[in-house]
Amino acid sequence: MKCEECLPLLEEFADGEVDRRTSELMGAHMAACAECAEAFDALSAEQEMYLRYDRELEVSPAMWHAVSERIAEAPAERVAKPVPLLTRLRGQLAIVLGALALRPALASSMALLLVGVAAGVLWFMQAPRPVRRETIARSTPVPDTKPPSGGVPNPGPLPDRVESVEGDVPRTATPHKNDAQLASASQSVKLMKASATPTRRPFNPGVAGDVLPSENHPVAQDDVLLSVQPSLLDDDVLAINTRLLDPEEKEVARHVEHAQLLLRSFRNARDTEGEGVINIAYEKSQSRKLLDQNISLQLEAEAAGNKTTARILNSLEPFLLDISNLRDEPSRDEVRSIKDRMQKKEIIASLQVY
Amino acid sequence: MNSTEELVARVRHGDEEAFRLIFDRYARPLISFVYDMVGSRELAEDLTQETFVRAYKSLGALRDETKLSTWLFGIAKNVARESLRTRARESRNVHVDDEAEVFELCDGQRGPAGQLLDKELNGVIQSALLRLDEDKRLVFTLKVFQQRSYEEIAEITGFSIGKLKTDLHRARAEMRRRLGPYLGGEQ
Repeated sequence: MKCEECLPLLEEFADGEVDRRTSELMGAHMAACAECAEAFDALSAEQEMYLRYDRELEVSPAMWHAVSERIAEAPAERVAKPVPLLTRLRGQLAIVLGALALRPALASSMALLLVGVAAGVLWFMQAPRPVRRETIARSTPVPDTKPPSGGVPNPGPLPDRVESVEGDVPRTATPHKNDAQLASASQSVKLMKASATPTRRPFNPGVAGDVLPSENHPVAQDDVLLSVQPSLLDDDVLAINTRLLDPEEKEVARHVEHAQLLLRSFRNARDTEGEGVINIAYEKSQSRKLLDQNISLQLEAEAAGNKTTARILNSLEPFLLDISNLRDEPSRDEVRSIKDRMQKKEIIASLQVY
Repeated sequence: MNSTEELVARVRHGDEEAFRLIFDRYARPLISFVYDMVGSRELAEDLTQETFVRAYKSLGALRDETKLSTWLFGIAKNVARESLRTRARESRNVHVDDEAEVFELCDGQRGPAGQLLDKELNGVIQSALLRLDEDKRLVFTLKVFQQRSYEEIAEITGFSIGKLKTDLHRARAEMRRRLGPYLGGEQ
């Protein structure tokens, strides 16, 4: 390879985005060419400087509270039903019909059964049906507040209708109402029932209806959150929240962030099929630096009794050690072995959580 | 440790704690990414919140749960771009505002020399970033700061690999030119 071919590919090489063959050729060329090796070093120094970029951003617990409140208003069906209901029903119907098509005798029996069921349903629908008193009674005390998220809006002024259908009176036994009024009353009762019956939401800690003990004693947002989600009080969450507020942990946080970027860079290193090597010179040198820092930070965390930090640093150390001890151009299998363990241990995710 | 697929499945069944774990896992990289795009701390917080809310609402549209991270960054990109468009309409000269903000950051407390240098460097990097045009800044941030592969960046941005390579190369060159003195000091 010549310098004219090597130099334009340096950035892709540093990004781990060139194929195995090109990577080998570039590695060999840079081993012999001072100019290209110098350009690569400059690029590595540049990358190192960017890794030191500290935005001084913190993810405060208040951010989650705000998100939590807003998603409490999200419609539940979008989360729970990735596949439309009609599509699923159509698929199930197709399976049933397909099965019937193969058995004519069964099909005729089922047809008779369906006719019977349909007749029963028609008879049931035409028979007088009592309106249950407790349903209405439950609906009555609902104040005219904004509707619960994902639920049916409050139907508005309804007391007159409620009074008129009070008691176990069949619908046909209200001679002063015409059919339109009956339909309206029936609709109102349905709406009220819907608004009074707690609808299942995925989670909505900010919705007062779930936990408020009394109108006269409004509960603070944090109290609501704690009432709904006592599991949030576990040690890890408390530790995370405390850590976010502790400036002394900032150095550890930065270290963990750098380690995370390093591991991500290592994971993205080109891993093509076939025999060959992968150039991870940059990751290796970074890993050595981070390893030293990791050891000292781990000792400090242990001395300070900070178990969460010590644990995360302890889980990171083997990966830093392995990457540092790799050869300059390790084989694909060697790199893959570390990548597999990274995936198995989900170390990048652990660092992100930290 | 919960896998991404498990977490997504749990959220789809209404598990709040699972969504909180997703938030804990991705909030930090997402807020950094959004901040690099918009250059304002408060706005980055708001837009990151908006990203998670949108993600929650449209989680049903996520087809490949293993690509949750890429999907979230895609949403964050859209949210940040919408905000930049709105700001551009409100103020013709966004860069002037952003620079003022950068200098404000640099005028913080004076500490030891190293800290001051780091602070100054942070300000200079942010200023240089905000001078990149939107596409270049997007690609540069995803590659250099978020360490995403070209393939992932193409998925997040919708750019072709050719375009993102060109944008990335030009962004690096521009950043190099603006950070020249600091790069000299590093070497």
